[in-house]
Amino acid sequence: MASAVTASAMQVEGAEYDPKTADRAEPFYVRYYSGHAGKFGHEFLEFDVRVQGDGRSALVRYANNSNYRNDSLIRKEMSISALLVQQLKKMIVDAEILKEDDSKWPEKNADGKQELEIRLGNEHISFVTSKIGSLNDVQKSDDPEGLRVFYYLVQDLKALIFSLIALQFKIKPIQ
Amino acid sequence: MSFDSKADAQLEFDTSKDVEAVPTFEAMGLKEDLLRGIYAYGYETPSAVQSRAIVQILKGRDTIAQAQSGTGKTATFSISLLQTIDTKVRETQALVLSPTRELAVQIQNVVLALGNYMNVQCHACIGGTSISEDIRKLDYGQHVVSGTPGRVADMIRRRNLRTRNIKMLILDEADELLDRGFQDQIYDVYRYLPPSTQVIVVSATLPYDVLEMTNKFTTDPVRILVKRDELTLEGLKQYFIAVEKEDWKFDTLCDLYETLTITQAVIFCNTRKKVDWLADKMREANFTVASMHGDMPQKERDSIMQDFRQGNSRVLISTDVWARGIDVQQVSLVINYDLPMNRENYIHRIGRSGRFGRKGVAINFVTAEDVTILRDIEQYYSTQIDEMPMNVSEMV
Repeated sequence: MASAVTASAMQVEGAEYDPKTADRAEPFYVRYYSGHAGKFGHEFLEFDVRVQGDGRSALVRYANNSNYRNDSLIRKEMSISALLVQQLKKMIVDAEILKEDDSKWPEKNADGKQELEIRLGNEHISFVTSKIGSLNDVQKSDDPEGLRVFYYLVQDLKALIFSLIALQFKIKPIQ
Repeated sequence: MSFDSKADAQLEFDTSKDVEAVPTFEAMGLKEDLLRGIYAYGYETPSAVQSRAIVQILKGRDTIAQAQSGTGKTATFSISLLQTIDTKVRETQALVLSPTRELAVQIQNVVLALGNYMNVQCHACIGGTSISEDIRKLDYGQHVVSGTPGRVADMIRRRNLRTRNIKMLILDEADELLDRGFQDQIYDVYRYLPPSTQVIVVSATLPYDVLEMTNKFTTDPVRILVKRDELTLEGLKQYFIAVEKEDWKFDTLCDLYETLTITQAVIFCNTRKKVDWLADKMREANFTVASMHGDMPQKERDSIMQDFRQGNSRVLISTDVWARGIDVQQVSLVINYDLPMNRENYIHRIGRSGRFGRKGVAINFVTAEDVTILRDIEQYYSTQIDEMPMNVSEMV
């Protein structure tokens, strides 16, 4: 997990930021939201990661809401180590999402919206766009390259957070 | 009856506090001959639901048990009922209800296998079979009856299924049984049972409105529940293929055919008519497929099931009659040619593969309108359904 930053990431324009050597107490915050309002209420998935105090750990908060057949909000919280935070930063740096801009991305609509907020050191992004059905939606958008970066980063972030949540909370159904 | 919506809004259902996991079957205090049957069946260590629910059921308490698909719910209640019945009394002591005939028969076979050393009589009481044969078997005396609601209600009304000694009612796929289509029949059966009957409610999906409804026919039940975001299986990868038009699904399926036959696959359509249409069209294109739905005579359904279970047929096209409970361990791929009509059946359909810790793949065919529904399902279960990569054959 904590492998060195790859060459490609180091070639990032300016190449000054390295998650491995970065100050772990620097401000770092990631939040993802995906949701819509419909016949099952405000259905959403949201998680965020916030580095705590001296940077030795970060707090992960996760929520999933739906009123489908009277269902309700699920909340989970856990702490992750600085090493995991470092990996998360690497994912973000490698994806080069901080260089993107959501001005040409599809606007939120009746099907809902997605939000991605990242604060890393001095940089801060807060993107809003529609939900994305398939890669075809990315392709036919006005900024396919940028939206693709977003699409795959979100996929990776979800994979990481869902795995961590499952590891921490889920009882393995088969031993 | 008054309805207190305020109190209702505050209802919360979680796994009961006093539920502990028993690590082994030995530690559950089961009968020697039952334990032998369990090991002979191939079980070694209990799954999560087995290690929690069996001892609770054996305490005699009403139990609501939820667990991921293919993780041993049938064996959970089968072991519990086998432990509870007295085989010296040849009267029906446990009644299992399921939504489909094939599932009822499968449960009968599990009960007979686990009870192999107990001399247990277990009868499948299902529609589409000879009534006189049913009567003969029931008159002979059956310790356990596994059936579908309609025929069971009929046999009780005719007094061939004597309910006096019934200690346990099991509602398998309970959310389906308590749905409008079955509710009246279930109630019909329930009111004939002794008031002391222990009720066991089982399913992979138990929507909150169903949990609320269970208060009407259970008393202070033990609850073993799984939250919706923990319901999908780790080893079961989910994909989708976006098609521009409905018409393109057929070509996509033909392209995938080679992959389907690597092991066994089930293809779901939403209607019987579409199953027939797709099966015909596949056969016209020289692909070998089996198909099955509820409009077929039971004899034909039986032989299709047998062929598929034995591996003689490898690709089965079906409706939701196949969505729940059916356990064919060789199935490693499920295709939703149509998306299911509700979120529960998404879980049940894809759960036909990835049985008991095996790996599985589910592929959803979606048109532009469908993809929103699929994304909603994905979000609801906090799972990931990615667009299909091209090397799927390496994954099944």
